This record gives sequence, structure tokens and C-alpha cells, in this order.
Amino acid sequence: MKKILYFIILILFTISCSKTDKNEIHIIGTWGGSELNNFLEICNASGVKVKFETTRDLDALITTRIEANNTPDLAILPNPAKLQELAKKGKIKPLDFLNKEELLKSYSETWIDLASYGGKLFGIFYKASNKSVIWYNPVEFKKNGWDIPKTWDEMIKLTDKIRESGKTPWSIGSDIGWPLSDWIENIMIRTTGPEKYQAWIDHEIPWTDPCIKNAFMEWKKIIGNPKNLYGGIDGTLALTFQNAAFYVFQENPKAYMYYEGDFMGGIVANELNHIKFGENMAFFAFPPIKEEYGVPVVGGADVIAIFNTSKNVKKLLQFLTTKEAHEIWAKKGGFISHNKNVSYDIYPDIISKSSARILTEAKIYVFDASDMMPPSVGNQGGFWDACKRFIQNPDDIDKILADMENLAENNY
Amino acid sequence: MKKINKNILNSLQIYIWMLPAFILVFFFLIKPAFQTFFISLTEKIKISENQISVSINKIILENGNRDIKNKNKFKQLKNWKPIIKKINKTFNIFVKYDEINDEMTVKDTTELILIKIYNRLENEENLTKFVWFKNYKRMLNDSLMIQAFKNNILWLILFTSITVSVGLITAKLFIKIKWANIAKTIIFIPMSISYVASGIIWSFMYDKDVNIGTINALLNTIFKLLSFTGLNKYQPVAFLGRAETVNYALIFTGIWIWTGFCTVIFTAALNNIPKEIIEASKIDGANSIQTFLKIELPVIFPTTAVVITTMIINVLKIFDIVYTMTGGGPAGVSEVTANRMYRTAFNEGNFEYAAAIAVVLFLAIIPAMIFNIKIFIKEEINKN
Repeated sequence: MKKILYFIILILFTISCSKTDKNEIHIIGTWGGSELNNFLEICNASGVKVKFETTRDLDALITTRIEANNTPDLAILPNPAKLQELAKKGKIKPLDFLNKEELLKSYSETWIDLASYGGKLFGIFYKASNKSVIWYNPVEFKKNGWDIPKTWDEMIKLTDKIRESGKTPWSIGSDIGWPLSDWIENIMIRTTGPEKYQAWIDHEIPWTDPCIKNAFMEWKKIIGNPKNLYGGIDGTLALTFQNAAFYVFQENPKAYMYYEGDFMGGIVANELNHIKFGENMAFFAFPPIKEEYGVPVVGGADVIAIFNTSKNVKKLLQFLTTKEAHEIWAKKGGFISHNKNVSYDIYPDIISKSSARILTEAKIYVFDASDMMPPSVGNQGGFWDACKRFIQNPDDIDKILADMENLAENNY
Repeated sequence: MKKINKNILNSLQIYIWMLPAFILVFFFLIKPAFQTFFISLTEKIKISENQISVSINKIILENGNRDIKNKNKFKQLKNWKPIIKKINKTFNIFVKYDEINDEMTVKDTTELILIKIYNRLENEENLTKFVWFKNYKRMLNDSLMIQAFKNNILWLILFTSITVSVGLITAKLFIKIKWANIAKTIIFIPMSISYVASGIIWSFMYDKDVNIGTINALLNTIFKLLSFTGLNKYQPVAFLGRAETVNYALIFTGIWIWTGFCTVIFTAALNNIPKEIIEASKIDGANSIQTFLKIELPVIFPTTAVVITTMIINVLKIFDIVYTMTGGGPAGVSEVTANRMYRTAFNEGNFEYAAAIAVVLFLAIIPAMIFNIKIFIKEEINKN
């Protein structure tokens, strides 16, 4: 009798220990380490208790959790494609409790559109990156009397000017090819606008469409002349993206302009000791081409989606849209906010500050197209290789695009 | 009466004691295997979003609209209400007029319609269709699967041959030397780490950065030391990022993990050879190598066969190493069948196709399994 009593007490105790806190919100995402700590600090500031589950294989985890009817409360998705897929199938809930007018006071409309489906908002973005910056050495520019180009045409004129003075204007590292695709993406969004850009990603227009050929032809104005590239064509194809940047910022520079994302600052500063951001290393925005599209930004951002609309979920989400939530992380560095109301002074370094300015002033934000396409089309063997082939022989453009179209046909 | 009951109870006892194990094996092994096979013969009905878009556009055109663009506001179309009515009828859904606000564009409305269609499909219809062997046929055309099969064969040949031969050689050598036990422990330790942990450790070892990747750091140092001979600066190699090296890098990790297993088994087998046979061969004038090749190897042949088949079974199932180190990349170059099965099921949500892959893997392993068990039974019989 006694034994049974003890047994029952043990069971009850165990049950009470494993009871989950009803007020705790369960989030899954890929963040870990310091990223996660920063995010948890923000959640604490919101007053909502959070339990974060980190996973490397977010895709698989979400798919299985949905199948098992065991969804978390929030999920931090890596791009809007997954968001739209979940919204389409009715797995995530619309953010009807957020006021669109209020949101528009802090965010450009492009951020609302990117996270909407069927006319409703399904997610809010968080932690964006900026791949539309062109790095240069202000000291060299001043020494040579060069001005920062404000338009695409000005940049081409500057390229020609540098080349004619006997120097090499650009250094591009394309041993793998992805930096090249970023060029085309920036040119595409600046010449064709967000709808055609999306149609390009979804393969609603073929690769042989004139607007794509036109983007490559614009690019040719920079890379068409081998004297514009450090190392010529062969050098460029063998150069890594890091080494290409070092050539621009080393003590005896071999080239003067370098294009890639805002993360390059850290990479170069790590390798070269004399780098001082703002003084001998800075960037200007990838210039606009067609005025109507302004200065768009290509990049990537995480988007937060919800699986239910309980009180605490709504509270947390509401808080995450405020500028306070962004400022907590922005202060620490490694994070730029697309919230227009976050003061630029809060950023700890000039790189983040300048990058954030470009980000918030962008009326159009698009995601890196090669990441959004099926991997065999968007990455190695596809888009990246097409760009490499184009550098080697720009006249081959029609065949290159026809081959891309063939590849796309088989993969969509 | 009591005596009959006791007899029946005695015979029944055998089955009663077997019952728990049998229930577990049936519900967790046999039934799911059959279910997987049946699932692999089906397919989930997919709707063509393209077709739906085309139909919607057709209905819009039929109602007196021209040159419709995705960004046009839907309510500004001519006859937008009859259009919604026709769409509701065509797709058997129910979109209310007030569900479309003034801001919504043609694109937004199309998306809303898609949401309704998916909703209807989930609630009403049975989405699974019986398609016989369509999934298996699809495997033959799937370039990723073909790459996975090729890689499994590469693993099969390299992994099996190297682990077994190195295991055998080290087993033979480590008997004679003084520090035999320490050597055997060192070679066996990788087996005691989880495969996932080994995979992650080796990912770091293969890292391209000379400050992180041990192998690149080592080669970099060697090049630096030899720089006086005029060698160029070392360019780090991304072992896991390059298509030419990634598979060999992964296979080497597998070999590193499993060789110890072979060594230990072979050591036991070699120790079990009756000493008289070795002495007899020495008396007959055979040297060590001849003894090894002509006497010892044939005697331990059953063990060798078991080790080979065990390695084959392991290598066909290989998953952890590939999943943690490259995830099948770059661009599917290092894919293996088990990884494809996981990705298809859990990342793409296509459980039927994954079931077909599982069945193929099962069929591939069965011959090795049967052979393994046969030898095992033969050994049992020989012992008795």
C-alpha cells in the first residue's frame, strides 16, 4: 500500500515538473550564439517570456512540425519565399492586428509588400543585409581628384577616366562566380523594377527576355574592356573575392573600386592592419540607373511569421516593429535596421551607419535573386557560370542566355 | 482438467514470452515497412498554380477587360463582381465580395484565390492518388538521385576496401609490437564518438581558412618552411567546397571513423587461430608473409566476409557524415541516397517519393544482410 502511494506521489511530482509555462512563447529559428543572445535581450525588453529553439535545418523542422500539428508560436524564416509558401497553404496567420498606416510611418512600403500575400500582411522583417554598396578608398579618390558617382552613367565615366589615366579601375574576384551574379541582380532591379525582377526569379519570363540581355549589356560597359579589371579577364576569373578586395585597399593599391556587400568591411579590416573605416575605406551606394526605381537595395533579411494569435504572440510582434526593439540590437553592431525612425547615431561604427542609411532610404528592397532560384539554376553551374562565361566573351551573350533558359526549363 | 490446462499453458508460454518482442517488431518494423512500400506507390495531387493563373486571366479578359497587369487594382476591373462569381463557380470556392478591399491588386486577388483553393483541397478531397511505379521511374530521371547512386557506389568501393584492408593490416601488425594495445585504442577511439560529432570536427579540419582548418594550416606551414626553394605562396583549398575533392574528403572521414571497428574484429579473429596451425606452417619453412597470406587469411575468411558485409551495410546507409558536413553540396555533388531521402521527405515534404527512395535503399541492403546472416548461422553451426 505504501509503495503504491509513493509511486503515485512520484508520478504527480514528475507531471508537475514537466508542465510547460502557458505564458511562454516558443520560437524556432537559425540564430545561435551572440545573435541569439541579442534577440533574447530584445524579447526580454518586450516583457514576453520566450523559449528559442535553434536549428540548422529550419526547412525540415517546420515541415515536420506542421505535419505533426505541433507548430511553434513564431518562426524566423530566412526569406519571403518560404513565408509565401506557408501563407498560401494557410499554415501561418495574417498579422491583422498590426496597423498598416502605423507601419508605413516606420518602414518603406516595399517591406510591407515583400511580406504580404493575398492582400494581407503575414510577416515582419528583421535583420536585413545590404549588398548594394561599392567600396572605395576616400584617400585615393581625393588624391586623384575623383568624385563619387551619383548615377550609373557617372560611374561608367569614372571607370573610363581611371582607365585612361593608366590605372585599373575595378577589382573583381570571380573564382566561384557569386559576386558576379550580385552585379547583374543590382543592374536588373535598377533597370526593370521589382515586378520584372520577381518574374525573373519565378521564371515567368524566360532568360532570353530582352530585359535580361539588356542588364548584361549594361554590365558590359564596366567589364567589357579587360583594362578595366585588375588582372584582366584571366586574373579576374582566378581571383577570390577576398583577394580582389585586398588589392583595392592595400598600401599600394592595384585598383580603386570594389563591389560586394557591407560585410566586406570586416573581411578587409581583418587582413589589412591599416584600415580605418571612413578614412581609407568607405562605400557609396550602388548608383541608380533608371530614375523611376531610385536606389534599390539587394540583400537578404529574416522574416518573422506567426502560427497563432495568442495575446503574448501579438504583444511580442507589436514590440518587434517598434524602433526600440531595433535599437537594442543596432547598438551592439552587426545589425542594420530598415526602420526609418532608428537614429543613425546609435550605430557603433560608420560602416553600419552608412549601410543603414542606404537601407532605410531605399524605396525598393529585393532579395538576392540567385538565392531565391532553384539552386541548380541560381548557383554554380547556372547563373554564376553564365556570368563567368559572359566576362570571358561578352559576344556570346545570346548563346549564354539560351543555355540558361534550357537549364531553367528543366528545373522549375 | 488441470493437467490439460498445464500442457496448453506450457506451449502457450513460448508464444506469450515472445509476444512483447513480436509486437514491437511488428508495429515498429514490419508494418511500417509495408506501409512505406504502399505509400511509395502513391502520389499527392498537386494543383498547377500556373493553370489557375491562366484560367483567372481568361475569365478577366472574357469580362471585357484588356491589357490587365498584375499591379492593376482588382476592383477597378470591369465587371469585377461577375468575375468573382465565375471564379467561385469554376474553382468551387467561396470568395466574398467584401474580402477584396480597394487596395488589392490583381496579383493579390489571385493569391487570395489560391489560398481558398488550397484550403478547399485540404478540407474536402482525398489528395492521394495511386500511381503504381511512377515514383521509381522518376528516380531514373532525377539527376540528384543519379548523383547520389553514383556516390553510394564510390563510397562502397573506396570505403569498404580501405577500411577492411587497413583494419586487417593494422590487426596483423599491432599484435607484434610492444605498444600494441595503445595503438589499437588510438585507432578505435573514433568509433566512440558520435558520427555527427565526428562530422562536425572534420568540417572544421577541412575548413578553407588557414586559421581554422587544420589541413590547410598544415599545408600552409609546410609551404612556408619550403619557401626558400622558390615555392609559391600556398593557396588554401576548400576541400568541402570543391566538387573534385568533396567526396574523397567525406569518404576519408568515414574511413577514419570505421577502421577501428575492422581492426578490433580482425584482431580477435587472428587471435583465435589455433596456434598449432601457425607453428605447423613455420616448421614447414614458411616466412611471415606466406603464413599470413596462405594460412591466416583463408582461416579467418568467415570473419572477413562478415566484416566486409557489415561495412557494406554501413556504407549504403551513410547519412550523418554527409548531412552534417556538406548537406549534399556543393550543388548536389556529394549527395547520397539516405540524404536524398531525408531532404525529399522533410525539406520538400514529398513523403511519397521519399518512401520510394527508402524502398530502393532497403532492397539494396537486403542482399548484404542475407549474406551476413547466412555466414553468421554457418559459424554458429560450426561452433556447435
